[in-house]
Amino acid sequence: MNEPKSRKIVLNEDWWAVIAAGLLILLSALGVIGEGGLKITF
Amino acid sequence: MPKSTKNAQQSNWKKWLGFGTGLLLVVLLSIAAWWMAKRIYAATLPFGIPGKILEFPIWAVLFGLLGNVILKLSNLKEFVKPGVRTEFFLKVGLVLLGAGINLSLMVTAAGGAILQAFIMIASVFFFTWWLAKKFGLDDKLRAVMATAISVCGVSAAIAAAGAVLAKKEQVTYVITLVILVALPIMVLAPLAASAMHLPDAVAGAWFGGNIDTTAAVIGAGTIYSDQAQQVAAIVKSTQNALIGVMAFFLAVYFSARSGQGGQRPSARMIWERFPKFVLGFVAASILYTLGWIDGGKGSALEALKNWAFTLAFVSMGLEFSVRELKNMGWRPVAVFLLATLFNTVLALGVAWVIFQYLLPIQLAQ
Repeated sequence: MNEPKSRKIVLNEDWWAVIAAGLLILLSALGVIGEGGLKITF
Repeated sequence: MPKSTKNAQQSNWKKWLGFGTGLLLVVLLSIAAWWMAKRIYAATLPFGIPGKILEFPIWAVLFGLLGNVILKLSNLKEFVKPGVRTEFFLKVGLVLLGAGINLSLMVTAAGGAILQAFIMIASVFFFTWWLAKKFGLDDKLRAVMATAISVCGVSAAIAAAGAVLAKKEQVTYVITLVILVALPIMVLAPLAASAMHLPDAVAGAWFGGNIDTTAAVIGAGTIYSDQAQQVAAIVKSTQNALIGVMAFFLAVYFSARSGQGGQRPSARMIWERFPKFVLGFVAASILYTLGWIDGGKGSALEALKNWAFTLAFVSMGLEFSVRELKNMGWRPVAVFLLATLFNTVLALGVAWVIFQYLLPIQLAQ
């Protein structure tokens, strides 16, 4: 009998970039980054 | 512990160390590039040239190239490679760029961007395909090169190579040419646009339709103006979104010809090749338009976007390599350069007609 295959979800680089940017946007929306929070300038 | 397991653990450990060192190097070089850009921005260069024309993408690429030379001399280039992630940094920056673009701009620019993408992709693909045949290039190299020049550089070359089962060396050739040619165009195109007094929308659409790599498109747009950067990103993202469709048609064509195709073409393949960061870009723009987030001028998200792009430009300089070109011979190089020239001239005309007359867009100053 065949062993059931484990379904491992693999995210490509595009999704990781969306997640990373989404996290930064979330932190900014919550005020952790920006005015009143961690100031980031360029 | 078996010897093979121990070796695998050591190799994994070395890879993580390389990742950390590479990432640290990219960050340090980015800070150096940012510092230099700030210093020069306020200065006046010889012959009265204002320092602000030397925007941060130029410094970031130069510092990346400098790091590249040092890594090459110290034989550490391969070691730090896992931490040098051009595409990742660029995609993070693009999603953050969306957080500062009003959806109304995206909607008004979309019509022109889609029209331009279809005209450019069809014309440049078939011109390059025809020209490459005249120069006697292999069919698979023709497919990879035509897709890279007509759609969006590196990602398109990889997608096309997967669809037609091209050789690894052929993909490396094309990617090297794409980066080699995109770097000078990133600096020259904004200078040419400035000399021609192109409006921001036309200049942005020209960069987006002409320059092969997304990083260089953003770089050229940044050098020209903020508005040009936004239009360039929208036009380039529209072209990027068509990678899946191109890969699908190539796979159909090569499958039909003596079963040479790499993958069985399907709708799933189009989805797999679709650049998912475009979804993040649009989602961020919707949140910005609703007023839920602020990625506009002077915001923290705008600063983070510029940092992400700086990391991408430094990585671009670090990844640069001309070694592969030596084995290539002159014919693929000649085809690539002639096709790029055709792309540049055609994109200028098409962007001008569409964004100045057919579907002009209003940009907030």
